[in-house]
Amino acid sequence: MVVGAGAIGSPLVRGLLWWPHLERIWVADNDRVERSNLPRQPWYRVADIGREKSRALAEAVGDDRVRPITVAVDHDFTWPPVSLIFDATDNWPARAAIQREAWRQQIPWIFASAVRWEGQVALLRPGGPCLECLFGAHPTEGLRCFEAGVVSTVTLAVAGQALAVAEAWESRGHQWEDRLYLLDGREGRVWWVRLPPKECPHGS
Amino acid sequence: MDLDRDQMDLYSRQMLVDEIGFDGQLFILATPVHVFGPDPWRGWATQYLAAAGFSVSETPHEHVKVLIGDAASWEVTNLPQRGEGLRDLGLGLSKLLAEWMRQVKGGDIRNANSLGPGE
Repeated sequence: MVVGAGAIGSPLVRGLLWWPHLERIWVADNDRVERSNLPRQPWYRVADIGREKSRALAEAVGDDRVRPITVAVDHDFTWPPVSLIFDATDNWPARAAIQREAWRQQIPWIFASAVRWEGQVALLRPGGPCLECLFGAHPTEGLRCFEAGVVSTVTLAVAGQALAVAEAWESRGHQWEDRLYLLDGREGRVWWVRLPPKECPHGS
Repeated sequence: MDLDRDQMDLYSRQMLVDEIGFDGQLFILATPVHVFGPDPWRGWATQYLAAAGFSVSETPHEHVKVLIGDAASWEVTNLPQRGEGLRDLGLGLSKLLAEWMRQVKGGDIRNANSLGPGE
């Protein structure tokens, strides 16, 4: 399931279509397409402005496996059964809701974010480090794209890194070394920080 | 050259990025880009660069190569059709854009159409 049909979520969904064994891709987003989205989400057209993003994305990719959900992912969201959740949101409450559900289903989720020329990606698995382990118990929102700006090709790179992490998780039989991947668009490079192998004290 | 209200809204997120800004967006809008490469990468690169405001033309080719004006280029071979390839395409285009932006805003070169800000 991909939460967010925006700058990270929309290329991610297109990339997930390369997985031939994938039966269904849920895409959840309650936002509507805005003009300012178009440079980072080039599958949306001017004619899509005002339409529900997840529905417009499902139509644009034209693959029956992609199913739109047009309500917000929050505390009250009713989750379908899924095996992996991609965070392609831009806010912490949605990420907290994703993490709660991942813990409940005992499945991994992939955190992804981008602002200006930088991006971050991490696969957070059951029993491993969680969002609080990475950013503290009360993370501040930090600057968001509408405040600090973002480069569209960086969001593309972040989507690719999230996809690469998911591919590695599947191909390695879920044997995993916990890492936070950091992307720098100015320099065109990605590197990673190994997360210490300790038990998460927050309930993962 | 100026931007109308819809263009200001359209490009607002990338103009907020310090290294681009209003003048950088004007350079983008006045500059041709040519994308060489195989599917699906040529299509991805073309869509993103055109959406950013460049005038993009494309040619099928064995390897990915992107030329901004006649001043900056990025080339890569054998991008795998999986996440790693998508990431490397995004990072390569980002670095190319950052380098080109440094050049045009630093005054090293003019964009190919000589239609910089204020003209």
